[in-house]
Amino acid sequence: MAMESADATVHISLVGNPNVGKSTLFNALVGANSRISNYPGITADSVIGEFFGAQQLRIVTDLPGTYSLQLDLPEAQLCHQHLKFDGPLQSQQQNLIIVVIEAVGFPRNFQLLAQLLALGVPMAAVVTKTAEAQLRGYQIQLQALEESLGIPVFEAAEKSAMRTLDVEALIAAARIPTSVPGDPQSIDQWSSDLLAKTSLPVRPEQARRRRRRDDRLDRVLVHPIAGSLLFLLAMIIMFGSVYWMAQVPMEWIDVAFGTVGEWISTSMEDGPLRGLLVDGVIGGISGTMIFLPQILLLFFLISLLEETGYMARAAFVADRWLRPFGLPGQAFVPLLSSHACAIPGILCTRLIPDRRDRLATILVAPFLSCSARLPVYILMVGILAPANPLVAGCVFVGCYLLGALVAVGSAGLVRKTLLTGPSLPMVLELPPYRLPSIGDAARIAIDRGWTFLKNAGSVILLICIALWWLSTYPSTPEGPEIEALRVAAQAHSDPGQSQRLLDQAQSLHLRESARGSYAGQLGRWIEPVLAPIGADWQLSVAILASFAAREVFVSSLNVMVGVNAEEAAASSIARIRKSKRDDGSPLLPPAAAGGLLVFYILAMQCLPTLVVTSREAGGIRWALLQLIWMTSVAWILGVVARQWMMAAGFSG
Amino acid sequence: MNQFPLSDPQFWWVTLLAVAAVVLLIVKRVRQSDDQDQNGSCGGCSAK
Ligand SMILES: Nc1nc2c(ncn2[C@@H]2O[C@H](COP(=O)(O)OP(=O)(O)OP(=O)(O)O)[C@@H](O)[C@H]2O)c(=O)[nH]1
Ligand SMILES: [Mg+2]
Repeated sequence: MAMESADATVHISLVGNPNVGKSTLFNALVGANSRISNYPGITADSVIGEFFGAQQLRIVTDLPGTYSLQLDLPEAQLCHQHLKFDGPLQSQQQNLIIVVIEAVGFPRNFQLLAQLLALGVPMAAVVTKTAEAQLRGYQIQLQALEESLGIPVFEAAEKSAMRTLDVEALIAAARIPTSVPGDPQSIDQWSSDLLAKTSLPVRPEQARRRRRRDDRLDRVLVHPIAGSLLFLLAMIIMFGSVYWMAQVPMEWIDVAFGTVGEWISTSMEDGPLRGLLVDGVIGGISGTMIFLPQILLLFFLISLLEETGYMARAAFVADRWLRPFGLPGQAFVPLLSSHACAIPGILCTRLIPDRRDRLATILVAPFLSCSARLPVYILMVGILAPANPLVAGCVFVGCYLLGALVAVGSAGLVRKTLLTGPSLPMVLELPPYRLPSIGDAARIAIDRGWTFLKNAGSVILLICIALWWLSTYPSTPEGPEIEALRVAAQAHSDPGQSQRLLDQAQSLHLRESARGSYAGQLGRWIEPVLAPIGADWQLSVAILASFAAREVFVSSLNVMVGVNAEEAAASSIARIRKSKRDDGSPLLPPAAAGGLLVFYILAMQCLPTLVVTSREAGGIRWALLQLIWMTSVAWILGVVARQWMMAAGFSG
Repeated sequence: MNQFPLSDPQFWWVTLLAVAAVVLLIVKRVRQSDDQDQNGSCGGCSAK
């Protein structure tokens, strides 16, 4: 568009059916990292990004996919509203629609296409997945399509082609459509004409074989029993391998941090600065960093699985199991996303059409184990099953299962009490099967891992520095008992014995200091509430700190046991395992570890999620309900778990 | 030993750092809750 205008901003809207590749194009255009997945309905809200080209600012809006602008569904209304182009942006703006058309399932795009053509806004089309369509037995005649629609048509045969798409040419070529299909009656005629003109069959035999294979796969994967078992198996394999495969790199990172800590301890003089550096900074960061391998693996495997197209089948299977609890099948993807983080999961519920269904899903989504809980799981599982990696893996998978079960149970309860009423049936299109690209999955995993690291480097580091100060000051003067020990040490003739007494005095001093510090005072104040689930004052402080950010638990525990640890820098997990309570018993005996683990699986300890809940559910009372319900369930089941383990003979 | 080793310059340094950490933390939290809306990137946890 060569129009010169004072305000040279171009507003580009990406519109199309669900799962056609709008977000892929969006990411290619603005270099963003919006979520992409082989599943319809991933983008739930319009996402805005911008880029510069030809001295113009281009503002791009990625809209949720819809089959029509006139449906009574949230995504359709959102697109409809956006495309009316009202609101503050209206003045002097240049609007442009890029309609993304999927070559696979080509005719399904026509209804929306017809509605868009009628808007009278400059338009261009991008046809995606043409290579895949050929495998399925037809080829799109782009030239013919361009002539029939009266707008320029560009092709993105493959996902990678999005990045090389000539955007400037596309923007320049966009024009107001000339061929507008008339009234609704003639749209059917228009559609069949268009299909006849633009779609050519190719290699039918190969396509038929492919369809047969897909049908056969579908029959197994959405089968009520086989499909459910396969889904369970897939989840067990996925979470199990996160646990097992990450062990080795985790050890490397642990050792590396231990070495750095030791080096600083030996090369710096004793004093507050060394303490802050070794216990606060290194201890804090290492307590988070060692979980990087797990995070990377988790996101890598999730995105691999999503790209195959399996998730839509799993949603069908899950629909059967969720429905008795009053959750719609559409809740499956929000709930599954919540395994990464509850916030995108909750945002994803915008596409659930029924309000009660949606509220129930929002309320229980944070029960599912988000990646921030992973560090605590690893720590506790290592304590619960130290010798047997098979049992450890099972306990780890069990954590995820417990979260899911309580979520579904709670949803059932909510739907029977607060939000009564039937759920709407689920309509979902099954996307084609596709071999996932390792490179793409790796890119997503690295992106998420980077976010995790940035978080460790900022929020967690800051919390750990503050916590170090709080658990160091005010320092307690040495009491008479310690004094006596030191005197005794001096009097002793045997140097070995004398050293032992000195060490004892030192550790006693450190412990008393920590107890007397601000953090210690706070921990001891809250301890009575948390003692039933197995927490002493040190664990209580770590639990309190993790209300700021969940993954800070291991780090803050590390800082605190570091402050009163005898040896300077053992590897962080080993150090936590070896730490003691005030009475000299282990800090985390098995039953306490079990109780705390259950508490962590279920407790609501995430301020950002509460904010999102109150906004999405439309009221702070829903967030409060979530907070109170989740935390009380967590506490009660935590106590039960600990008592039960103690009754079974574990020390608590 | 004193409760707060006021004469030790290192004490003042670590206290300064701790205060800075708290201030930064608050600033970060406030900013995050503002720009959480658009793409669902999340503040407290490690995922988007
Ligand atoms: N083969 C092929 N796959 C593509 C292409 N573009 C996108 N995909 C895949 O199509 C799927 C959907 O992509 P998205 O970008 O999430 O689609 P969307 O239109 O944003 O979907 P919603 O947000 O759910 O409406 C993903 O699995 C992509 O990897 C393409 O040109 N060729
Ligand atoms: Mg999308």
